[in-house]
Amino acid sequence: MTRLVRYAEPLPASGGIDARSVRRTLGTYSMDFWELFLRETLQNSWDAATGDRPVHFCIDGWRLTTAQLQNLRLLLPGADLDAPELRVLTVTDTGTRGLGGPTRADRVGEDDPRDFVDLVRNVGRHPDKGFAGGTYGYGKAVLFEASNIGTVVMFTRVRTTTGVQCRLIGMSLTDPYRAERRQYTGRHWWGVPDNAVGVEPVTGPTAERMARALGLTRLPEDSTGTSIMVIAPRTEQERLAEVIAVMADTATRYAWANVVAQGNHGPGLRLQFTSDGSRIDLPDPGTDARLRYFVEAHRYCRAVFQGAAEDHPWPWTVQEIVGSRPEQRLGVLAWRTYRAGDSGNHARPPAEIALLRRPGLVVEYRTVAADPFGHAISGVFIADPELDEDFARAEPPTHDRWQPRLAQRQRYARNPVSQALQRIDRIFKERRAGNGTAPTTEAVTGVSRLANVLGALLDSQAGGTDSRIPVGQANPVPHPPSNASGTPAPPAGTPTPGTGSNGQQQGPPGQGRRPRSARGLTLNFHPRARPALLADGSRAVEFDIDLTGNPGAPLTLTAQPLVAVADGTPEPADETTPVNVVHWRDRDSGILTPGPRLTLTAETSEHWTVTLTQPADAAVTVRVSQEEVGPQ
Amino acid sequence: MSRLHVYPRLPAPVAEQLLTVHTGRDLLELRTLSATADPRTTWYPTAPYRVPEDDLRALQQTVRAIATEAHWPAPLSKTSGTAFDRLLAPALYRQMTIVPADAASEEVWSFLSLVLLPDVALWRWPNPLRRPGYERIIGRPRNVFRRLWARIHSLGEDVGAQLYEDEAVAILERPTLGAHPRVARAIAHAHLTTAGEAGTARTDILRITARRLRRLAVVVSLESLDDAQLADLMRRYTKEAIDQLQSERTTSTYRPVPTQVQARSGAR
Repeated sequence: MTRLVRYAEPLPASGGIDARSVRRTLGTYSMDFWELFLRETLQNSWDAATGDRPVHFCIDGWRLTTAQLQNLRLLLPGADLDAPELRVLTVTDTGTRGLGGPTRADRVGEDDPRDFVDLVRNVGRHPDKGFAGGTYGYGKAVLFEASNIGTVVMFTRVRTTTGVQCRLIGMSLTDPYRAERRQYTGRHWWGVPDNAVGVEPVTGPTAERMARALGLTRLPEDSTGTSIMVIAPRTEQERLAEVIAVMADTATRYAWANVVAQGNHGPGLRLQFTSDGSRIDLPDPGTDARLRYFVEAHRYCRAVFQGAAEDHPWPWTVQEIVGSRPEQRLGVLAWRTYRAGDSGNHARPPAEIALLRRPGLVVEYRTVAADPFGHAISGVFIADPELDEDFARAEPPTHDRWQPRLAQRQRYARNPVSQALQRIDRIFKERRAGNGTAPTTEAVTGVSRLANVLGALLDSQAGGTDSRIPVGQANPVPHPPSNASGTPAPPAGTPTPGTGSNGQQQGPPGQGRRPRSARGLTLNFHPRARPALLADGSRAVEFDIDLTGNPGAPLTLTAQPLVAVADGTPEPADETTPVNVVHWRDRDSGILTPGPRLTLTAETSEHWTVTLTQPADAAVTVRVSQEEVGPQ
Repeated sequence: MSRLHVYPRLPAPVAEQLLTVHTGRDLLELRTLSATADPRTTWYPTAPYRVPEDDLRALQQTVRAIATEAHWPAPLSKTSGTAFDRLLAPALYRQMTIVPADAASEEVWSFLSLVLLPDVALWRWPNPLRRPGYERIIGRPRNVFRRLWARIHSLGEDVGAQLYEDEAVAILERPTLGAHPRVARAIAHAHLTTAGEAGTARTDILRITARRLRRLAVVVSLESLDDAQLADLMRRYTKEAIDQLQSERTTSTYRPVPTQVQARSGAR
C-alpha cells in the first residue's frame, strides 16, 4: 500500500504568501453561504463542460460509515477527524474535463490546461486578491470555507495524451501558524511524498480504489470529471439535509435554462441531489409555478435569435432591445404579467427579469419597476450572441451580475451592457409612468387581486373544483387557458381535491386544482372523496377520476398519495403519516388493479376510482402523473 | 403597566432602496448614517402613543451595547451570531414595549433595521449576495430583529431561552404552530419536558412532532383545544415522535403505524 503523508508548507525564506483565504469577506454563515457555494461549484462545473455530452452535476451529503471513516483516516493522517458522526458533502461533475494539466505549479507547457494547479496548488495565495481579483475569486475559497476543518479531498479523472488518468489528493487550509521555530503558510496537502513539491496526488488504480473506499462512487469508471468531498460541512443552524434542499432549490433557480431541453437538443445539464442516500425531488421548471414563465420566455427569446419568431400569445411581450450608436441588437426580452400568488398573500408581487447569456446559468434576477396594477412580472433577457464577449466581460468572477464598468472598452465609448440594462429598466418604468392615473398603493394591489379572483370565476370554471357540483358527473375540462405553452406539455402532475377524515371535504390549499392535459388525455377529478372501509376493517378513501380524450399512445397513470398540511402545499406521504395506494378500480367492470400504477390502453374504461388508506389524524389527497409507455 | 408604543414605519420602496445603498458599506460608516428619524417614515394613524425619540435612542444604545459585547464590528464567528441573538432577544422585547399589532408591520422592522440600527443589522446579516429584498434586513418575518421579538412574544423568555435555534425556528416559522402563543408554548413545553433529555436528537424529535401537527391542524383546530387537551396532545405526539425516531435508528425498514389520536375536535 502506498504510504501517504501530510505535507505542511513552510514559509519559504523569501517569504510572502500565506493561506489566509477570503474568509473575512463572507461574514456570518447562513443559507446565503450555501447558495453561494452551490452557484460557485455549479458555475465551475458548467464552465468545464466537454460539450460532447450533458454535464451531470450531483451533490450528496451523508454520514460516513465506519469503514469509510477508517479509509479517510488512512488518506488524511493527522487530520482532525474525531467528530462522533462525521458528515461529508460531495460535489461531483461528469461530462466535464476534470482537473487536467501538470500537477506542479512550476511546469508550464504551451497551452497546457492549468486546471489542476489552479485549484490545488495556487489556492490560498494572494489573499489580497480574494474578492475582486482575476482567477482568485470566491470559487476555490468556498470549498474550504464549507468545511468545519478547512479540509477537502479531491478526486478527478482526466483525459491526457497517454490515456485516462486519475488523481486523488487531500488539502487543508488554515491560518498561518508557527511551530518549532518555523513559520508555516497554513497550506497542507496529503498524498504521495515527493522531494520537490512535498506531495503529489495518488494516481492509478490505487487512487481509484481509495476514492471508492471513501464513498466517491459518482464518477463512472470510463468518464472524466471531478468529485470534491468537503469534510465536516459547516451547517451551523441548519441540518445538512436542509442545506442540501436549499442547494437543490438554488440550482433549479439558476440552471433551469440548462435543465430543460432546448428545441431539438436535449438538456445540457442534469442535476441530482441526495441526502443520506435519499433523493431530493427537484421541481420541473416547465411546470413549477415560479419558473415556468421564465422557461417559456426563454423559448420565445431563442425563437427570435433563430429568426423563427414564434407566435406568442397574449399577455406575452417579446421585443428586441436595440442600442444606439452603433444601432445594433443588444439582446431579446420576453416578459409577461400574471396574478401573483394566492389571494390573501400580502407579499409584494415579484417583478423580475432573468438575465442570461447563451448558453449559461442565470446571471441575475434583475428587479424592475413593479407593475402598476399589482401583478407580478416575469421575463427573460438573453444577450445577443454577437455581443457575447462584451457581456461575458461584464461578469465578475462570481458570475452573479453584469457590471457595465467591466465591459467598458475605452472611455466614452458606448457600452452595450449598460445600454441594455438601462433600456430594460426604462421599459418597466415607463409602464408605471404611462399609468399615471392609476393609483399605485398597496390597496390597489389588493383590489386588483380580488378583481382577478372574481374574474376567474367567469371565464373557464374548471370541473372538479367546485364542491357544489354533484358527485359522479363527468365535467370535461377545457385545455388550460392562454398561459399554456402551446407545445405538448411534459407528463404533468395533477393534484386533486383532497379528503378530510370523517368524510369532511378538505381541499388542499394552493394552486394546481385545475387538471392539466397531456397528449390529448384529460383527467377529471370529482371533487368529493368518499370514505370507505377495506376488507380488513381499516379505513380508506376513494377518489373518482374520469378520463376523456384519446391517450394516443399507451399511458401509465401513477397515483402518489399526498398529505394536506395546514400552512402549505400538500406533502408526499411518508413514514410519519403512512398512506398507501390500495388499488385502482374500473367503475364499469369492477376490476381491481392493485398498487399505485395503472396502465391504460385504447380499450380501457374511462371511469376509475383510486383508493388510498386513510390515516386517523390527517387529510389525504392524491396526485396522478401520466407517463407514456415506451415500446417494449 | 407601561404604555405600549407604535413605531415609525419605513415604506417598502424606501426600505429596498436603503438596503441597496447600505449593503456592503463599512459598519462604522453605517453607524454615522443611522438616525432616530427619517422624513419618509409614517405612523399608524390612530395609535395614541408614538414612541418618543429618547426611547428610540435608548433602544439604539441597548442593542449596540450587546453588539459591542459580541465584538462589533469584528465579523461574527461561527457560533457568536447565535449567542448574540440569545442575549439580544429578551432585551429587545422588554425595551421595545411595542403594540403587538404594530410589530406585525413589515415597515416597522424595516425602520429598525435600516434607519435606527443599520450598523448592527448588516453586521449580523451582511447580505453577501446583495439581494434586493433581503429577508433578514427588510422587515419580513425572518428579519434580524423581528424574528427575535416574535420568539419572545410567542414562547416567553424562559421557554424561548431553553430551545435550540432550529427548534424555535421549527415552531415559529410555521404559522399554524407559531402564530398562536398558547399553541406554541404548549408545543415547546411538552417538548422540553418530554424530550429534554434526548440531547442532539431533540431537534429531530421536534421536526417529526411539528410535521404531524401541521397535518393534524387540517382536521383539528389546535387553538380551540383547551389547555389540558393541548398539553395532552403535545405530550403524546412528542412521545410518539421519540418512538418513531428510535425505531428508525434501530431498523430502517420498520414503518410504525400511527397511534390513533383521540383529541377531540373543538369545532365539531
